[in-house]
Amino acid sequence: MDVLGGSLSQAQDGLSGDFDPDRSIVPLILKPRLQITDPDGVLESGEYSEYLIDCRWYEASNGDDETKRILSSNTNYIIGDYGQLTVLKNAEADAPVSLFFSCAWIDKRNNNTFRKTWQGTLSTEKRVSVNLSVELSCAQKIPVSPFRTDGDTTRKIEVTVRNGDEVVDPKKCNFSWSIFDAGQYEQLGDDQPFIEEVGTNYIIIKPGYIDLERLMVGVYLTGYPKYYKDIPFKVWRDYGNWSDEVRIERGKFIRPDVTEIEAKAYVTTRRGNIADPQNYFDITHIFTTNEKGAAQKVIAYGESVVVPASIAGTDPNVIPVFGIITQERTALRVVTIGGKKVTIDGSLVCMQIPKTT
Amino acid sequence: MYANSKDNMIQTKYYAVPKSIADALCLTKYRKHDDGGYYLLSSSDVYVYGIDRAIAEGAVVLTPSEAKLRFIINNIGK
Repeated sequence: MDVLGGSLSQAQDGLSGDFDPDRSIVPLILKPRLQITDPDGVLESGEYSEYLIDCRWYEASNGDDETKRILSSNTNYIIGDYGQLTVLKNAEADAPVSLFFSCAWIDKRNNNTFRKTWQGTLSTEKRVSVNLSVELSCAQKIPVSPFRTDGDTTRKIEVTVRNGDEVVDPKKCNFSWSIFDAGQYEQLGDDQPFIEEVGTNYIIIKPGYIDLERLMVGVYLTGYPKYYKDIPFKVWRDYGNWSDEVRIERGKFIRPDVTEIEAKAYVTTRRGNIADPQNYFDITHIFTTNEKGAAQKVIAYGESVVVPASIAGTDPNVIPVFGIITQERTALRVVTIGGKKVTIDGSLVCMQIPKTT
Repeated sequence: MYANSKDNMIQTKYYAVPKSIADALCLTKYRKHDDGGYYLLSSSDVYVYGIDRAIAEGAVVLTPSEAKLRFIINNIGK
């Protein structure tokens, strides 16, 4: 039997299921060949394949007791002339296919019929080829601006797994999300206040609840933990560069008709003034004078303060001074009592604390 | 951002080769061909001939899907 255009064995990628070679693309040809050498010289020596008759092919899949004849209606094979069989079938690694061939030849010298059989097995070796890469839908360092996030803002962080150039179906992967706590990574649960959802290959976080969290996602292909890969990433609350100042909005010049002085805090970033800075900062208004040893009094909290003009006094040598102390705030922190989270109507009670630098 | 793990990546390849190469390998009767006279061979077919040599003589590397599109799907009905 001549085996042409391939071999009886092939390989199969254990992950993609692709065959190498794929016989539906490059088929295997099994061509019976009858070669005769007659020592008596009655028959001319040479190939007599064209004289083969009653050529029959049979197949039996692994585990099948029954051997089925391959007919022309079988789309996995093409039966050609003189017993040639074109095999388009790819045998699964766990299901080798046995092929049987039988034919006959009539010896014209004495009209005896000789029968000949052949048996072969289409087998497949399963291979796993791994060139795993894991990609996050964001950078590994994620600064979160407090000016764009609040408790309701969410952000989805997704993982794409590739084997070589091919994107791997998340269902074929095992994902583990973890959080760095007390010196080691621990499994991330959805009980963390900053977690909206932990999905298969993604998490949805609420950045408004994050001061600094170190997270990590680990991935391996199901059944192949040897090729485990992980990516750590960090999310933190970042105010960026900012500066503050207090401006006298009203009552800058004390005249008899001026009864009030309004001092207002301004916080500026590279992008300009922040509207409603009291939403993001703890602002404490201070009043004092240029007198030696003058006390610094806290006169208000918030964006602006209105005080009576009389606070400036009447002594022209005493200059009133307004000032502010501006502090960044922590992320939202869940209030607990006795270790239990406090809720009102099912909603978590949160607080923010001024950060001391 | 991505992390990478590598181990013996196997990529199944096919080759569209000029008729002269398919002739030399005696595979013209057993392999599909397109209208341009190119024959579809497996990497093990071409290995015998020499992959570098075949490429130098005009063979083109194809992925399985490219091979199916060029030699099978495009030839349906022909």
